Amino acid sequence: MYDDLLIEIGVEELPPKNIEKLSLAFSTGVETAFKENNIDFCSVEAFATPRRLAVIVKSLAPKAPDREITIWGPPKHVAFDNFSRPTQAAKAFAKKNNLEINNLKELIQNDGNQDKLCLRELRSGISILDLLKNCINQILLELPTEKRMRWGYVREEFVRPVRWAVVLYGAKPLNLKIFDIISNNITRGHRFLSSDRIVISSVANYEDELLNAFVVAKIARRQQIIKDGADKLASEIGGKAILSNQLLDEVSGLNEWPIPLIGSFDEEFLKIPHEILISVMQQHQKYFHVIGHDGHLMPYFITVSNLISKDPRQVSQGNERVIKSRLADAKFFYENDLNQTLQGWRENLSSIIFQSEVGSLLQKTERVASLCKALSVYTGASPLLAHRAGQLSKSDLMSDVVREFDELQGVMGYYYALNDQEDPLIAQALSAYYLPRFSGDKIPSCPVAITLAIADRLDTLVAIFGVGLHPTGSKDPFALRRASLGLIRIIIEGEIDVDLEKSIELTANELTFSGKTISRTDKELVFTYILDRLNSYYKEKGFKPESYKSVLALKLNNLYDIDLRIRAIEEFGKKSESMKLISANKRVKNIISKSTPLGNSINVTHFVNDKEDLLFQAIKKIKPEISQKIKLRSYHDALEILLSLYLPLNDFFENVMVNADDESVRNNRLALMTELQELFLKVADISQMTP
Amino acid sequence: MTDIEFSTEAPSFQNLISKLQQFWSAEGCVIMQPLDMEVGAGTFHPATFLRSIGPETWFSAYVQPCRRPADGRYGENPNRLQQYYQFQVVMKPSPEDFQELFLRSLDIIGIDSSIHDIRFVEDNWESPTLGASGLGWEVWLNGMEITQFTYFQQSGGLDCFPVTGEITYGLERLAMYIQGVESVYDLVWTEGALGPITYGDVFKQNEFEMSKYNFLHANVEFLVLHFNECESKSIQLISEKLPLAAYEKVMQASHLFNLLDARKAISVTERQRYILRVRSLARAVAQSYLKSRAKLGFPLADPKFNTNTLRPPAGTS
Repeated sequence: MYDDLLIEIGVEELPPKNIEKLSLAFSTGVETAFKENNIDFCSVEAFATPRRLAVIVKSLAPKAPDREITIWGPPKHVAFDNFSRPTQAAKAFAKKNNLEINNLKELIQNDGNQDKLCLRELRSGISILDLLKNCINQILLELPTEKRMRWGYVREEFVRPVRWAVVLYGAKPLNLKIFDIISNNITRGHRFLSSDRIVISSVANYEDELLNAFVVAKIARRQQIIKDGADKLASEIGGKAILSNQLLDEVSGLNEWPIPLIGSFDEEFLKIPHEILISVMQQHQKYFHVIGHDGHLMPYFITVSNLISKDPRQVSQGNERVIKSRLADAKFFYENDLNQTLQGWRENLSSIIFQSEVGSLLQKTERVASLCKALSVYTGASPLLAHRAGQLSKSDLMSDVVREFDELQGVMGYYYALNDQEDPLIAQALSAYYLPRFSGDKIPSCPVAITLAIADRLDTLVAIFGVGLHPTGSKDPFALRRASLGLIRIIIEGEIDVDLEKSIELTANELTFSGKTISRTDKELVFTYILDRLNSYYKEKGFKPESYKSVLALKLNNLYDIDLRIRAIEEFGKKSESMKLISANKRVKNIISKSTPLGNSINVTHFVNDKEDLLFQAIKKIKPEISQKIKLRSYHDALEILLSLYLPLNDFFENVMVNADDESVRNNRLALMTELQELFLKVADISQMTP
Repeated sequence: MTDIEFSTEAPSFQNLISKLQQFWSAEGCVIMQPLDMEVGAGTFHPATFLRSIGPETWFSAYVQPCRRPADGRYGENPNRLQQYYQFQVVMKPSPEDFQELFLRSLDIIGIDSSIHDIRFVEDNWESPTLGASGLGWEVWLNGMEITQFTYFQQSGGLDCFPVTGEITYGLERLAMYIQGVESVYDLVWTEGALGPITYGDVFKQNEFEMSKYNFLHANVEFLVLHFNECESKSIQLISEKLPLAAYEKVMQASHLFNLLDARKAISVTERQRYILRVRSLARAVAQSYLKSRAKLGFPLADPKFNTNTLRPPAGTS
């Protein structure tokens, strides 16, 4: 009864970087369709190559279970007249449900209230064929892809043209219309190594029969073959192949039958910066590079062909030829660039638009340079070096190498600064200020780089908000989200003690366009936008949302300080005794929020109960200690000291009613509560933390 | 490096072209001759750009000399030319076995797919000046790009339906590979009476002189004037309902823009504006051309389909 189901969609070569994502979405789509229709199955397995997306559903029921449905009709007294003849209402019910009018009398049932016409019917569950007929095209059309296309006379849009489809249930082919083709049991093997049409005998044999046709259907398996092959080839020449996950994904998406091959290039090329060589190999040729035991680049590359070539040497040689001409181009560009200077290129930045209203990149470097100078007080960088780094920060964009390999921006700035005999700290900064380039990347470590990294991002943020182009929805053309997250990490993790509001002010001071300055609202928008990113920053770190909300509630604006507090609170929140204090504090806050602030000070003579005095004494005792710890930013210690308030506070609540009848007593107690709350608020609004 | 082994039997440059022409002719393509105007790519030829618009069918193949003034290297770079050849194939509607046909054509010109690693690597194409775009691949031969393979989605700002499939072979690269030479100028064009005639014999002097002209002597003021003239003429011709004539002016304008670019006479902002100006002309031509064909009753449309239903699906890009 139960059997395995195979669906394979044959396509022209898919975009290699997307295959894994498409495959996952496809198998999930199929799985969901069966689940939603209560069709039983055991498990789902996904396969994907450049030319096919496939899924096997193991032990799938042939159809959804049958189910009884109940349709209630009109009440008996409405359905039949006084002579027990069916009325119009009964006739309508019969017609709608395809019933004989004469049989209606047998259908009367009591619904617990009254007698009614009632139809109970066993409906057959939907078969997998009918279900797939309904939903297969929809599943395919909903696969996540940036760009879709049409082909021939086909009206639907898909990632790439669909050329065949296999739908097999056990050994039985199912015929479905998928785009403009009808599915059957015929797939295609490897383009060059196999005969064109392959009949899949049964689902169980799918993977093996494809292997016989030189197709490794599983992504992970191809990746393993590539890894093993590359490792082996590299070790034969005494090196190690470098396989980044991203490149491995891409390369495994370009092969159905991966055969790694090694090739070499002239050692002469090793004289140019290795980043350029690696860029040529990775980005342009999808090659893995090889390093020696000393960690240095070796003049070899590993390419992964999609063929058991009759003469693999020709494939390697062909690739060597390509890389040679690519590297020769790169070397030519690099050597040309060495005859120029960053300072010289800087002049040309006036012709490159940063943003049409804000102005050119040259203007941006001027602003960033001034800002660097201003910020160096906080970062401990040399103001002169930071200023110079700012001036030169975009020059390498004009170099031939960066124009050809844009991913090398920054890296080339480093080399060209050294070539120009700029200070090595400037050279480092020109490269390091792009850090972090992605989530989880390292942050810049030297002060000049930190200064430049902050200044460049702030300038972009404030300028773009200033012209009203801040991100909306998923649209973020200036990557402000990434800039903010970078800024947050650099300041927090680099422990830069700087006031964010002030920094935004300094940034805004440099910016005028169309005669306007940055408005206060825009500055506040930038500030809020950056602070909002803290949520995702701490979420990613696994912090409890209450921890950062309790600190953000204080509306502080020094990110470094905010972070110290949040980390102290996060630790604090993990202790059981903290919870009691947090509850007590919540009570304090509630009491205060229900009364109007009076601003009166505490008068010991108005104390009635000794618990009031005890609490007051406790507060008085720790107040200077807390202030001291806050000054030192030892928030952890401050919280520890606050814990000592729990007992007197608890005693207070057990013995004292704040809302006393006597106004002066009541106001005094309220003042005591306010005093207490202010003490708590010196670290964070811990009432936000749920006990 | 030069011991790529099939070089002894490798076809000459002109032989390569005639083999491709024969192959695609047998597949039912109209073999056109090169357009007698300066264009930057075979796509500009009316046999591609205009024919990709509207419901009519069209199979065609042709060689197109392409001019890219900024790529000139005075005949000194073995890989870069300011004028080179593309072999262009367009099939509308794109046939089901389009890729297979292409692979067979490689076989015909001596590229053995059991030896060489041939791959389709994602590469989407866009022509901002023509308001055209498509999805497809660059075809790699042992890691080298030899062909661009595209399914047109838009042309002159109009959605394409049915879809035109386009193959653009880079003839020099392909020939260099097949003949196993390192410099384009060493390509054997043909075996002449006095021995081999090379690509260098045919074009090297031209590359030098045209580089000089493109980079140094082209008269910027005149180019700008001429561009403006082409633009206003194109607009006028559209109003006269002469889209083919108007399109010639678009191609001219586009080439003049390329020349201005090579002379570095256009700043970055202006550059974008020039592109937009050409694009809006191309869009107007596309619309006018579609109307003119409709007036003729779309004579080349497949009678199996009602041309009224052959509009692009609604809601697409």
